Amino acid sequence: MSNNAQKLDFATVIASAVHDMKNSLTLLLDTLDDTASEQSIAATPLQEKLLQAQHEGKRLNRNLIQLLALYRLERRQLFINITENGVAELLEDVAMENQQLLDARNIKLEIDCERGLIGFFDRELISGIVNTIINNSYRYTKNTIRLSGKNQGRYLCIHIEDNGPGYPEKMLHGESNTDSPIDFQTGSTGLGLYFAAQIARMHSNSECHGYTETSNDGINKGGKFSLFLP
Amino acid sequence: MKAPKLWSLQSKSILVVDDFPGMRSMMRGMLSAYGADDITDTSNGEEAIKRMHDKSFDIVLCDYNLGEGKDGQQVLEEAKEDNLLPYSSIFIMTTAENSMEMVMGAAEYQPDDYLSKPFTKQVLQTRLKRLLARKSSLRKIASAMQKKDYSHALSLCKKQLALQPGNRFELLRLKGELSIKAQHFDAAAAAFAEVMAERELPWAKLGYGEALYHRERYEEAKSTFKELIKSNPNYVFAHDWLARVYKKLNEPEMAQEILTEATEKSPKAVLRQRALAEISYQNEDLDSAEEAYRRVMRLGKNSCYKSPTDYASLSRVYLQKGNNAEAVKTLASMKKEFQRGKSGDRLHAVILEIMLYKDMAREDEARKGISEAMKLFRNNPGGLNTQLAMDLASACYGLGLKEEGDEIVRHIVRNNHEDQAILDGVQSMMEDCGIGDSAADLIAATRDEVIALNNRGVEMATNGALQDSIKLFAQAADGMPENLVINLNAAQSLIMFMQRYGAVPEFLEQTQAYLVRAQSLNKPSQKQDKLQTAYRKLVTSLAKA
Repeated sequence: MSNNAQKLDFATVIASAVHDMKNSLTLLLDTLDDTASEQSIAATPLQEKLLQAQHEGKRLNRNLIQLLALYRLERRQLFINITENGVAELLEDVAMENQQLLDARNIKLEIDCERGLIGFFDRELISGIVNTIINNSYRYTKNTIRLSGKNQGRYLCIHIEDNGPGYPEKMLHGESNTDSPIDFQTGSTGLGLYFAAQIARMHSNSECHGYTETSNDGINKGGKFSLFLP
Repeated sequence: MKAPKLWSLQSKSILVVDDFPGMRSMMRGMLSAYGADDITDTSNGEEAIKRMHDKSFDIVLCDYNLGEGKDGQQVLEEAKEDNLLPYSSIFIMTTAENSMEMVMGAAEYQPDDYLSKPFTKQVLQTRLKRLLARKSSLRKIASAMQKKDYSHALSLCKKQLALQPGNRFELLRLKGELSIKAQHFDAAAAAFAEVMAERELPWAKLGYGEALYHRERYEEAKSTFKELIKSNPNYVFAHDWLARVYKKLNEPEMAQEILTEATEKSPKAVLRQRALAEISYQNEDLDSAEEAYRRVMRLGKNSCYKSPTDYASLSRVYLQKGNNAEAVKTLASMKKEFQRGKSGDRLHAVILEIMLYKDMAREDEARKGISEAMKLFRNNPGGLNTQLAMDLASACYGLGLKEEGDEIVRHIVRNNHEDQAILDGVQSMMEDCGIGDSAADLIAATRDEVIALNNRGVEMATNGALQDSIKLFAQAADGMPENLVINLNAAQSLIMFMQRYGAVPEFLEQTQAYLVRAQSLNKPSQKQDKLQTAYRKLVTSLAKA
């Protein structure tokens, strides 16, 4: 018998632990979702607290996914699955997932994307990235987040802008440099951006690779995150 | 927020498979919230397959990780192989893991969508909404595919493509795949090339290479698959096809190397491990063959791809390594594993056992096997396919059991009376066994019997005795399920009857069964196309009536 079959490596341990944690998270989030949607607590402070808890639960989940994905990436075990996807549908899906949370804080979410715009990417990973960035914006924006998608030359670009104070100096960069280690002092945002840059890079089409950009060209000089996919 | 749209899962039959009770009740809750009123749930794969045999489902939500027993991929494979999941139904794999892992494990079939945990009600709703809309736009094509009427499916596909639809790539993919099934390889290549001109998607390039392979343009196919592997090193399907090309180019060592690479990347697919085992054996690399066959058995335990052949092959490997004890042990576990299986599998196992005992010069055991095989065969002649029948006949003759050998040869000839290559094969097999003298007479006499029977049936039909003709051909087709002419004539007499007296559901169903069987023999003919068209007309006439 081959050795592979018997060796219980760390990747397997992580995978099965994650499997368990995700089952728990699914139930937890579903319970929160149901409770927060109760008519009797609509627009009360209790509802806002529950939505907050839900928000934290989702963050926990995203971190879990990113951690596992980065671990796999390092061991060259992360594969992406590029398929044909509607960009407007993707943005609408992500918007809908966050609708309730944003509504509770009176944050307006705008989508600017032509119907029928097609992109080629790993749907799960890219929607995970957009989700992460929206959640960053949620924490910093004044009252608006704008999602937009369009073709630009050989790239599909997805922008996520807000009208908050913008990214701090040390997190601003033009075209992402995935080789340089990043500063994790800044908290989870750092991990999220690093993850986004790595995943963008894995998307390629005839020698072109994807990349990310952060700038303060958002609404009223707010933060702007851009994802370029070939 | 906009007002909720009128969308509901009412009257859709839904199956939920998850080993975690909390998850099952949560899914029930989510689905009921959207009006679902026909939900079945189960905790394991075996049970899921049973439920799907009892009833057909519009939507299956199956977790990948189901604990002991079958995993989600194996459920999908078995459901597809057993025809429990028509193209119109939706199979969603839910998972806590990265979906690419599962894509990598897949060999033949992929689910319609992956849904990673945790997901919310809304996400489930959007995905289902989109999939239902997509499937409903392909409803007609799906129904033709279910009847294995590929040429009709193809023409429907072309019609839809002409409307410049949003799901153009999906239709082009279908067009390519259907063209390969209908053996229109140039059309297949054209469909895939149309996609590639816009975007080099791995599946398009794979399909293109596949079309080249079928056109026997092996060198071009080789470079196509090599390029594909270079740009997508983890796209294991490209490895599978490259290995096939190397086999055709008579480079079996290269084929083994590429399959070794593929199984390292994707160790869970049974069919891929089996291909590696076979090629290793062919290359006389007995150690690799042994390892691969053992993996096949371990992985195949819960899989519908489990086959007695793997046990027999491993046993043969041990025999050649001089390890007779292991060889016999493997045979014993084969018998144990398949004794309660389908009668076809049991017969298969016994024949393999006979051949191995013959090789080991253990004649008594071989003879015992033959009498067991003959019993199984007489109980269910349809369960013995031509390939195995040849082996059995040759074993009978080798042990001097001429009467039994002749009985099996008659079965082979009856099933293939118009296939000269197979008849020649029978002739040379008998010559090898030293009884070539009687071969020609036996073959000719049996063939004439079939021709006479066929003529009688045709005559009945032309004289208007359609019911007699139907009865005669139905009986004949039971005994010779692999005989193309008999199956087609059975369908034709039914069609003629309905053309005269009107279509009835029961006869339509029987006709379809004969046509599907003929299709599965992979010998396309004009007669078959004509009968398909006539059958379609009858179906429409019934629908209008």
